[in-house]
Amino acid sequence: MWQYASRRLLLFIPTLFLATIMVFALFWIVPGDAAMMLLTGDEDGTGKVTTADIDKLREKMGLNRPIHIQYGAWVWDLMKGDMGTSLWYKNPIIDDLKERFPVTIELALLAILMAFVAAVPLGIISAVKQDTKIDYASRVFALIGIAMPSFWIGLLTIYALAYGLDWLPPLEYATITENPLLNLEQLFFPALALAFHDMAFTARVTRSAMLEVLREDYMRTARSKGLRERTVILRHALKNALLPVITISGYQFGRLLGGVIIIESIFVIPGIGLYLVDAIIHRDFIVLQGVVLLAAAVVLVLNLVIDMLYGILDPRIRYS
Amino acid sequence: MTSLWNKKAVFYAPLIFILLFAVACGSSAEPVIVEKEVIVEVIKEVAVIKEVIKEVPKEVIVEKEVIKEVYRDVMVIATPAPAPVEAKGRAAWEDIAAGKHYRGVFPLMAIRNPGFWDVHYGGSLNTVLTPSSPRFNGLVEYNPVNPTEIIGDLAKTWEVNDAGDVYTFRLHEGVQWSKGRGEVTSADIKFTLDRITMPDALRARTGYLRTVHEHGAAEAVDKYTIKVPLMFPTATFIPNMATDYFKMYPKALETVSQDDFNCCPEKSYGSGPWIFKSWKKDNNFEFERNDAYFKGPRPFFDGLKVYTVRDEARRLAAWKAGQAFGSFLPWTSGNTPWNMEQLEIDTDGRMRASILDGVGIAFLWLRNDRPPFDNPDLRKAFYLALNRPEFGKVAYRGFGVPGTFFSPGFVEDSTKFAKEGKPGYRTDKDVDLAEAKKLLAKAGFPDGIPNLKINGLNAGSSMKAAEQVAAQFRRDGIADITLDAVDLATMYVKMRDGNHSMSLVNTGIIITDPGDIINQFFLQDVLRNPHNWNDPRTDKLMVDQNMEQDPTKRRELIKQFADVLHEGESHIVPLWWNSSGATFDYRLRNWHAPMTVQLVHKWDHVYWDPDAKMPTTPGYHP
Repeated sequence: MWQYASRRLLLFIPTLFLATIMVFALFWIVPGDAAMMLLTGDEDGTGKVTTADIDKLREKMGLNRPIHIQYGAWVWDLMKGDMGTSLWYKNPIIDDLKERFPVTIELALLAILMAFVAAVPLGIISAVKQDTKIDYASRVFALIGIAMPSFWIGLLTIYALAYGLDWLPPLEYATITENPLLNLEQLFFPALALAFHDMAFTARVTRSAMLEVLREDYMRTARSKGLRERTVILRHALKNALLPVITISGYQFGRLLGGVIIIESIFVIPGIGLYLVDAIIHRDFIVLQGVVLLAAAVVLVLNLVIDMLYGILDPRIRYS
Repeated sequence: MTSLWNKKAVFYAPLIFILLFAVACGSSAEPVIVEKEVIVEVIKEVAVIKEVIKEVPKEVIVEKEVIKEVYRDVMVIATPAPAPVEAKGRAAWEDIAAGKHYRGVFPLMAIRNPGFWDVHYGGSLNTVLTPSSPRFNGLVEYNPVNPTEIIGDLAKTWEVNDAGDVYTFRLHEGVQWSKGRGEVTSADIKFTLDRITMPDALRARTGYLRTVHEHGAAEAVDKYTIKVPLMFPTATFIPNMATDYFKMYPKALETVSQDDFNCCPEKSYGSGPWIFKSWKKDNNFEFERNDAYFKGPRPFFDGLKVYTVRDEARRLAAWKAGQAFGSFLPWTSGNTPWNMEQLEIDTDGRMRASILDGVGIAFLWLRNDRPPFDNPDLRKAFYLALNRPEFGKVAYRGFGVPGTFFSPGFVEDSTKFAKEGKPGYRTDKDVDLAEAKKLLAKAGFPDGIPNLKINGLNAGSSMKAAEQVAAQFRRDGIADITLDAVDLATMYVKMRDGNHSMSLVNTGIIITDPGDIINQFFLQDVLRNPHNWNDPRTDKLMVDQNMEQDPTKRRELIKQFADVLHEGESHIVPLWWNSSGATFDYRLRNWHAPMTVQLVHKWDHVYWDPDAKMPTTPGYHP
């Protein structure tokens, strides 16, 4: 297994390399650059800005260099352990990532946890009580969840809280180590908004996996041994049905990293989502590269972990 | 069969949610307005401040060569209505406010994360000016309680020589840099002026100073007197120096690099009412009161905390839920005036709408370097055909006034144009349309111009405005236009290099003086005139008005400038002067709407009065 893991880890290098090339190339195609944004501001700017000013600053910032030179310089710095300095904020982006990434990871994990805790029982009930009112209700819930984007749910949540309860999660952000309770207040609703979609999706996958497993011969065998129905379902059926659920959880985590961009804006969470939005608006490609690299690495590691989990959940699966 | 779903199992998952929900909601800290008894300190102080204001000579003889030299380089910001006003002693409101001192950190909301912490450097109201302004003082300032006046800030008095080209400022004595880091002296002022005018340094919105004042020319006469010579006499100097961008820094900061200045607020300090305390990126920045502020008893809060909330809906919800008591700026991008009026209704009048009219303009920018708009007749046809009242009603719900070239009321009043029968603004729009169609036919487009693309910002109001232009012109047979909505950086690039025929741009102004608009649109090679539209008449008027010291004569020159533009052949079609929306709790007192959204950001004059009575008429009342 460790040999397999090592091989997969080695594959990360070309994958990440390709990801950075793609982002760099995309940024090269997109019009505008950091020099222009620095001078005009990120609103519709005022003041006297000449094209000569912009060209001069572009030159100073090295943005006039050929794209492969810029990319090469960035990769060279990266290999030396330097992720670069933000073109806009003028500080090392590693410092910002250290602060922001844990925030986003915490939010995503909480959302996954919520989705898992709600969806798996829902999926099981739905499968066990197939074609009953409970099943129909659960399927309708799942369809609504899948159809509604997270940002819309986020806005509805804010609206409901502000206009219904005259209450909102606090604006002040505190990390989990600074103030766990405040941190939970901050993250509960955004995580819920993010989780809703995944909850629905996971519930559907759990239901279909359970239905498949419930028809297997070994389920009949388990019941014929005289086991309690609860034990049959939870120990024999659920364990086997969980494989696809875990697989999609990995996929959902990657998706959540994208979904947090708007949710973080709505709920004022200072994670990488907001950082990324700023980087795109400011054309700060150094920041963008750093964030994409990190997000890609997390998704790759997560996929590897999930692949490893298969072997634990299903002893028939062996890696060589 | 054993029942699978006993109660415990069924309610297990929902219970977790309920518990989490309860924990999340239960411990919420309601915003608390701390009301404590405070000892009112009655300071009997009679401040005798003399200000010497010498009359600027009405005529200034300027040699022709100088005019030519100025023409290519000068940034034209000319004097607005305010004239220097004598600084007064402590006002009655200050004593009242001192008695209402807010013992706590006052929560406000802004829309962006701070970008740079050097207000001389970059080009953004929200990311540069907002976070920096409260920490510093200028030499002069727009009076926060009467923003059409200019008064001394660090300068106690100032005077100008007879020739109008040397200003001498006398500083307040004993003013300290925050936390007792030395006294503010003329050496600091000289350092700041030299820093702003440093050759090759990036100075997006303070670059004006380079065009009127030579680097290194300021002279510290004595510890408290600084002499500032100008390259030529101009009435534009003081109004410009009074804006929040021209803040004074201590000389001790000369070793701080530009990057350190930009990134790290703790590496700089000022003499202003507020001292930087903390910055949580993308969440909030906080100031603590400068207890040694030379304008004591100001400021009237222990601290200010400004939450940076990007999402428009979240901001409205936060004000509704009482999480902040106002907007940090007189403008909140994305929150329209009608949003703020609705908020006033939704909060039963607690949060009041503060609407500033004429603070930004939407205009059509036509590419004069390529067909079809290299033909001035077609530019004029567009100028004539646009139905501005209808445009404003649809795109801006009627908040604002029909677009003119210069700020409303300065030299022209667009609300009267219809009555006056001014072409392009006539009540009988058919007459304008007939003239426009005649011009189109003459240029070979009797059925209107086909296949035009409009380059516009993908933000709410800009999109709506572009849609309305396209809809009107399609309906009236003027042109067939499709929208190309992009983000700001892309829009700027496309303005210069794209294949679009036109762009729709919204822009703000720093001061209401026409010079601001002239700088943005009519100088050569500027971002909004990249293809260098010009007219010999406006070229001359641009220089003449800048040099003119007599306000009446200057006004007349600007009127002439506007008349040339109203011929409709420039690269700009003014659409609508729009309004900004801000909101303040009615208990927040003494906030006076400035002339533009970029002025008076120090927050040293407002105070909280928990006993204030809710106004009976709509809107915010200071």
